[in-house]
Amino acid sequence: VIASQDRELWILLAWVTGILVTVSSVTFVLHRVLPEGPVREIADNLALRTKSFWLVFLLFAGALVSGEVLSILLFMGLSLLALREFLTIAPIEPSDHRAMIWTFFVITPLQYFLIGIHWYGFYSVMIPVWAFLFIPTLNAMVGDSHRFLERTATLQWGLMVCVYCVSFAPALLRLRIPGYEGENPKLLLYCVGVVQLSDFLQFLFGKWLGRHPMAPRISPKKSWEGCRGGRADDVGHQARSRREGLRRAAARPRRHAGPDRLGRLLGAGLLPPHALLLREGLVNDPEGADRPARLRGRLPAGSAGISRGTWTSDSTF
Amino acid sequence: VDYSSSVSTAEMVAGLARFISGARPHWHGCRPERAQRVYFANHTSHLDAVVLWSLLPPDLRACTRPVAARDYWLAGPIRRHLALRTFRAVLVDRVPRFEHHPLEELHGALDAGESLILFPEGSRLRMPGVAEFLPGLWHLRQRHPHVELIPVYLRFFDRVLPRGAHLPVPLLTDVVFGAPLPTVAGETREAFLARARDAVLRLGAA
Repeated sequence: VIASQDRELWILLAWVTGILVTVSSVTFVLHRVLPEGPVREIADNLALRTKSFWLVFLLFAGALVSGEVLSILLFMGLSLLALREFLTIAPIEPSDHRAMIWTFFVITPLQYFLIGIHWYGFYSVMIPVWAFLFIPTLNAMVGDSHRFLERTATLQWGLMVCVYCVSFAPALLRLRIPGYEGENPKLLLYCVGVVQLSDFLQFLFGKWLGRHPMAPRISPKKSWEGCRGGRADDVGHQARSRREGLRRAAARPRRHAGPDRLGRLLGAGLLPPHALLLREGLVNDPEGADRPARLRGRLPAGSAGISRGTWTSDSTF
Repeated sequence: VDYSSSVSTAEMVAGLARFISGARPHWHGCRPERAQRVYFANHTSHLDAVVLWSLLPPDLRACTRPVAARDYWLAGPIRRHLALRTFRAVLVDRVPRFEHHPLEELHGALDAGESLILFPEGSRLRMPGVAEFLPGLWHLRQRHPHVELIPVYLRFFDRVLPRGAHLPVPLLTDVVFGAPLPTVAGETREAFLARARDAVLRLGAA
């Protein structure tokens, strides 16, 4: 285990720890001080969310400072857990069994292996092209034509959302940016941090100001106010990182001219990720109306479930 | 047969079974208590008995024995070890022999104060749904009226390991425990079996 030499990374981690400690203590005190009622409920919900942030943060921090392999394994674990949740609520038939075996035990590990050996030309098309062709072939060979397209599409998009998109997060660690060598873990931390913070603010704003539901039949709690609150934070972040990206690009010697990947990458946040963030919250809301009753309450308290978290991180790209 | 199964092996196997099946227990009609019970459930895959067993708390698990098919569980050395030492399965013949009624083993276990896990449909179905129950449950109730009969519904198990498949897919599953089946005086065998089956089905519909 090699600890990172990047001083800024350690400073960042210290900051996040500080914030989490503060929020944890505040919610702890609030729980003690407030009388029972809706306000205390919000404080308790906040405490639960903070708890799940701690878990996420400790996992990421541990993986980040100890190197790339662990980070990739961590994200592969997340992908598998997300896939498991996704396929449990998806309409699956026993004849999909063989395709699911391939999905879990071959395609997903292969994608992360390709990320690990940095074969960009293959990992960027392996799922959207090859797996997309392979799964219907497999399903056809099993010989069940009942709801063929629906079953195939379910698996294909399960892979796309839970594996392909998520796998690009650890790929950040290997992105070659001139003048930025060895500092990539910060990008990943940034990505996860923005997503988590935005989710957090979306919840707070939604609780305090939420008046106008966005799609009440799908998720009664998502409101336009909460969405704006979550977005406000991100836009601030992204404007700052865009500036930083441009500053670094300007400071770079001319021989590195070419596409300004860092500026583009960090500035990518200025693309509207929040349409996607919203989609995530609506699609994978564990309390949402689309979830069968049997699945509510089987996810860890305070977190929205793995699949929801991964949707969120997808949205940053 | 030496029944002194090592506790840590049992814990490990149970943990593995829970992890692979992603099973969560839902105690709807009863609590995991130290009462003598027969848990009866719908049968969908080879995993059923093991997963149900693994969801019980360790102290209950130690005195609860799954009822399983002798020919399947004695087929190989690993299965044999698991069945005899780890689950302490009550093995029954699927094809009854004249000299020995299969229910005798079950009566013996209940007489010894142990709990059972039973799949009254007998062998697994090709069709989805729950088959008619075999009369074993009725005989157990007649001979041991004090034992609680707990209906259990296993959901999604047929997706994790469908019939004929060997490798389980790690999806999530649900196990719902219902309320003990009440005693109805003067009930016929058929009415009792239909009521027991209905109790399992209702857990699945909830």
